[in-house]
Amino acid sequence: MPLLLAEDEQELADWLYRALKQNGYIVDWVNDGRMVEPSIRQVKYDALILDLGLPGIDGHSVLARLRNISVNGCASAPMRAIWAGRSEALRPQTSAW
Amino acid sequence: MIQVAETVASRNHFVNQLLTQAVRRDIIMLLVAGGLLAVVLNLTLQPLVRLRDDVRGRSPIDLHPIESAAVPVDVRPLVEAINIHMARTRHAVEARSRFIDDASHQLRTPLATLRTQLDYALRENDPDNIRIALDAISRQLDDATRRTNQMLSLARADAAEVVLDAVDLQSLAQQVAREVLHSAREKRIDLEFDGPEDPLPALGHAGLLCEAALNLLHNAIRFAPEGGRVVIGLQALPDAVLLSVTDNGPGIPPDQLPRMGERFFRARNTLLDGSGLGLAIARSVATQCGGKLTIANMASGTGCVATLHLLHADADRQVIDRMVSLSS
Repeated sequence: MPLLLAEDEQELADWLYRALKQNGYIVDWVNDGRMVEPSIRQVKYDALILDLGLPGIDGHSVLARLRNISVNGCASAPMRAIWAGRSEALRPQTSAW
Repeated sequence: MIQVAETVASRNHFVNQLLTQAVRRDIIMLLVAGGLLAVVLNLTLQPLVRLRDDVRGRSPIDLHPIESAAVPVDVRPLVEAINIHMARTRHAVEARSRFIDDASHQLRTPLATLRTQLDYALRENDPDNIRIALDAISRQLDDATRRTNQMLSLARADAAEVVLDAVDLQSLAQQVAREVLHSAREKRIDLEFDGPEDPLPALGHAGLLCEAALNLLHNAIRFAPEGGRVVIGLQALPDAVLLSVTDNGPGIPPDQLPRMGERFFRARNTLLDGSGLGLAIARSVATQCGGKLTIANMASGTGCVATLHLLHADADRQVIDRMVSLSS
């Protein structure tokens, strides 16, 4: 199951990557909000893990843009965004888009 | 001979009439005067009543200055004094809320990382991988501890009621150099001192200046290459005393120089972990002491220099007041 991890804190991203791989996920990692959309256009991910405090474009804006576009039929795919941004680092939430 | 006679009753009547008239007139005068006084007082106190209602009606967090133009001239100094006090309170409240923002940002990321690392270690079966995770947890805890300490010193530097005094920068430089000697040796860094042998008194707060110098030195040692060079320099100018820390690291991209010293700002060419608070602490301390912090790249092209500009210990009282009020 392919996942996209968007997180700019190197250490946190590194360990999230390891932990997800340990659970059998295939993980791609980007550290800039501007990289999220191009990555989604290339690969059909099943989920996106998004930090709210990303450089480039912040997580909220990324999410808003993704809600408004349908990329490669992603809009019809059952995808969920889980965000563990700085402000909600300990209160992960899930939301369908 | 003409004799005029008056009955006692008639005389008494006349006296009574006179008295009654006088009393009536006085009472009317008093009433009119009282009424006028009340009207004048009411008119005079009207602005104060408005002021009272204005202050009473404020929200508890509203610390904006009171409008002093509308109040009577006599009361204006009082209103201005209250405004100065409110400005100080607002400053303190802002510093506190900034600290809470900073603290949540600084502590949540290491905590989320620790949680992830720990979960990984708990699920892992390979002893080697568990060992790697435990080492990472240990480093992460050191990092979180350092960040917490830095944040607390920043909060202290921001909130401290600083009493400025003469501080000998020469012995302070030696003291902080001794503290970082070990970490400099670990990276085989050449730690040099470039300054006078005699005491060099500057105006400041010994504890806070020590904290600022230590942060500058830690930064320099982190960014200097293995086997590199870090110089602590002291210099007395006619109107300032300078304590500078120079490294031969990668320097700072010129377009990002103005942002150095902002909280949590880290130059884009750094790959090292850091809180981005070291320079912010040094800058806060410098301004508290009536000085400033400057950061520049070396003309030679490698490395940068961070300089604390401080006042001479015997600086003119007026200069000190001006510098300290400018900085706050």
